[in-house]
Amino acid sequence: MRPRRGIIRKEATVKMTAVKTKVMTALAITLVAAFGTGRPARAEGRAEPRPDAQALAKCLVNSTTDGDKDDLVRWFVASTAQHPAAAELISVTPQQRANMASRVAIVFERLLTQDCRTQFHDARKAEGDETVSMSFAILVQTALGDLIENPTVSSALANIDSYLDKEKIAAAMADAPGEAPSGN
Amino acid sequence: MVFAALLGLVLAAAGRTPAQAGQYADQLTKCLVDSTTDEDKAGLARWIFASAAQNPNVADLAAVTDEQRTEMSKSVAAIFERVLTQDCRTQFRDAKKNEGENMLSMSFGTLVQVAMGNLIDNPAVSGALGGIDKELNKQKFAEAAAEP
Repeated sequence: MRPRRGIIRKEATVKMTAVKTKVMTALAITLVAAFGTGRPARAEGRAEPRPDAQALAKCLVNSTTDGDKDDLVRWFVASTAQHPAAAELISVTPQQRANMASRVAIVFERLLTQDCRTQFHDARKAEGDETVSMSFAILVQTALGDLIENPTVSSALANIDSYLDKEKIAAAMADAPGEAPSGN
Repeated sequence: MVFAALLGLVLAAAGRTPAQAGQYADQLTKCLVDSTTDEDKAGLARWIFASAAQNPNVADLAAVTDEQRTEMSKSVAAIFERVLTQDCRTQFRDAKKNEGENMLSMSFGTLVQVAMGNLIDNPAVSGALGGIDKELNKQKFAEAAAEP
């Protein structure tokens, strides 16, 4: 059985603007969820981060300079470009990669052993070995928040909206319960 | 010491931890993930990478033409449409009907998460990210941990 095309088309037209808004909202929500917002992150798996971990996270975020974030972003992008599907889209020499890794290591060391040394010490004492990895994850999340929140990047991601057939999507939403889906 | 936990955290943030959702949304999410082929995942990973590479800070490293970007956007839009209107049409309809307006958002989010997971999970990428570990001066960390 075919869906009620006339009704669907009318509903689809009404819903097209709403669909676009939803896709854009979804993008924002997803990216914030995936990459963080630059706010202090929580140790994964803990409902309530402990005060020492919170203090360290806050210090790390506050002590990460724009230059640090640039280094982190470049390193992360160059690393993800090792994916076979992305390799042809970027040009990075082995020497550049080595320099990027070295700069990130320097940033990380400076933050934990100088800028946030006290907080690192206290958190390490309370939380154990995972403090180092948690700190690094916070650093990466902070930088990636910056990467994705850049207007050029957001708009590149949101660009798929232009290519969606919103009528098709609205029609799929509007199938009557129990009605055999039309498939395409 | 850094790499394993970093990867775990990033993957968790990128959606390996299922969000709180009702049964219909869960079924839709499962269908979306199951219906995304390896080819889809590669296309999604390429798209998310090319988009991120638009950041001015890395623009000098990127080698993506406008034509490639357009093709990627079209390809991702086609994947999104296919999974919602064909592969998971019933689940999409039921989730939308029973659990509200945000199913489209959630679905798109699921695809982006699949893309991120695929990007980071690749052994070559994991290896590159994990490479930072050998650059770290562990002695310095041990000293800072020992005395503030």
